[in-house]
Amino acid sequence: MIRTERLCKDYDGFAAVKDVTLHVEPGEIYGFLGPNGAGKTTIILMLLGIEKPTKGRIFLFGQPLQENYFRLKHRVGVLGERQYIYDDMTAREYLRFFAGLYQVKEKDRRIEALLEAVGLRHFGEVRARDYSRGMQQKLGLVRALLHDADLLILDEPVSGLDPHGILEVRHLIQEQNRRGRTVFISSHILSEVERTAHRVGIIHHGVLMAEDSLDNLRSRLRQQVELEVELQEVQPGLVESLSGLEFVREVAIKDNKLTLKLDAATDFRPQVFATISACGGVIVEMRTKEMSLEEAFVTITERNVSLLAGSEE
Amino acid sequence: MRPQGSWRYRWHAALLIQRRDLRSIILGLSMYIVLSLSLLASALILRNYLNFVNESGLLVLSDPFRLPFLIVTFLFSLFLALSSVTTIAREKDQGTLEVLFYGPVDCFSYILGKYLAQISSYLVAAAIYVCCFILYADLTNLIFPFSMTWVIILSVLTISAVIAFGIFLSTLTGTARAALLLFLGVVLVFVAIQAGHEVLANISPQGRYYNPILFLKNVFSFLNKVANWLSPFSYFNQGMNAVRRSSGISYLVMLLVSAVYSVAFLGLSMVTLERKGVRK
Repeated sequence: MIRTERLCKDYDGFAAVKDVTLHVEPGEIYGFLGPNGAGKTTIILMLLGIEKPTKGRIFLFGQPLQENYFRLKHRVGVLGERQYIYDDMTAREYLRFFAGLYQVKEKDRRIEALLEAVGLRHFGEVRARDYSRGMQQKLGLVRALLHDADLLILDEPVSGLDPHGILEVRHLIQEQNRRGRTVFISSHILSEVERTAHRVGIIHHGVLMAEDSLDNLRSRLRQQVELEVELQEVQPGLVESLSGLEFVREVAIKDNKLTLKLDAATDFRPQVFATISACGGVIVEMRTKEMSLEEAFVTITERNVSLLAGSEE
Repeated sequence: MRPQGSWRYRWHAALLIQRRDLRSIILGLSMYIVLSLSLLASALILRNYLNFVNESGLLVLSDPFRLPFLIVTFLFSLFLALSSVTTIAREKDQGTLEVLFYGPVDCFSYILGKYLAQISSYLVAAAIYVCCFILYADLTNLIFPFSMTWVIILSVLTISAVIAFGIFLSTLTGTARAALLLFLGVVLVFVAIQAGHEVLANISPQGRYYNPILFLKNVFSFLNKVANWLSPFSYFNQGMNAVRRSSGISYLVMLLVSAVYSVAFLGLSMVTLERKGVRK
């Protein structure tokens, strides 16, 4: 759906984007993550033909944008980082203008349905400049969804929204994805991306550091697994038995809870279970603590860990 | 290479941008202020003619509406020049230009849409002017001659050149304020050249040897000729002179020059916008 090949962008000698090769597959939600100034927006602008790459190639729907500019643009819906709205138009006039631009059929019905979905139907006749930031964000999202695009490129889609608005937008994005739309979300709100994205790309200092599913990223990053075990009662000698296992790195105990740090090579839970049982312990709960996307992101960006094929840590 | 179907999309986008901008001009107050002021100025000129007839009983004028039309066209062209100069720079400044380019809009369709909006606002204004002048003619018994048709056609093409020039200046800057300053700077240069030329033309160099005044005279004369071709404001005057002299060829040359000027500056605007980008 989106493919870039060794994409570079220089601004007066400053390399904002370096050799970025990314792939977004049809029908997926792709989270594009990176700290501020990492090069996310620059890449989005290059995807849209607004910025020209210094080097490299871009393919949308398998074609270079410049070869079929207008047809491809009709298949892409875009929500920018900031919402720029005509001062003199009401929300409905603004949406009618863009519906006309994209040649949307039955535009009034479509506009009303989308305004309803984001809770703006009763504000359609208000001048868009008088909208709050969150309302403008929703209006921008409606503009991006107007023409039922095959590919949605959303730059910080939930920024400026209240929790209720975040939920509405998340449902809208997931609904679009269920209907077969590919969604490319650029964000630094990691919890949101973690909830919605199937795969993520992490960019740092203009370099794509990782591109994979969340589960794969976690398993590739972790060297240790943290296992939390709640017992009915801690039996004497249990801690020593567990510490004696060769895959156990550390054992900590607090009240009836054990925290074990294990090698991440394989799943050692059956052995842990067997050792506790052998000591006469009764397990109330056992769970593995997963690495969050935030932890993965921090590990990659702070330690400059590249998880791309052919690169070394 | 973009496929042939691109032209259909481009034309569609240009017409939508034209409609949006024209609506904004027509619903704004500025156009009506300029229309009122220019019609008031033309009415004052006509009243002067009538006073003269009252006082001396005779007025020898082949076309009493020519000067009033020159005035209204000049004032409206100034309004359109300012409007064109700020139109793209303001959109760039506000960020709405970037949002347009997220969609199926390119530099060609955008510049064409902007141009069409401005020129159609003049067509609306010209229709209002003609209606008012016919009303004036009816009220005053002065004749609104058929030759005014040629003047009106000329005004459309020369104003088109003014708009193209304004749009070009607008693509050079990133804010409406900078665009206005650039426009004022360019106009000042044109005025300074013309004033310098006229002042020097009235001084006759003395002495038999090399005189720096003579050199300056030649320089300003050359600059004045260049400015006359570069400044779109001078085209209407030159065309009016051709109509007055009934010189069909000169008239057609001015129409052609205005059309070529418009196309050239619109082309330059597209290239400039493409190179400078649409972002703030």
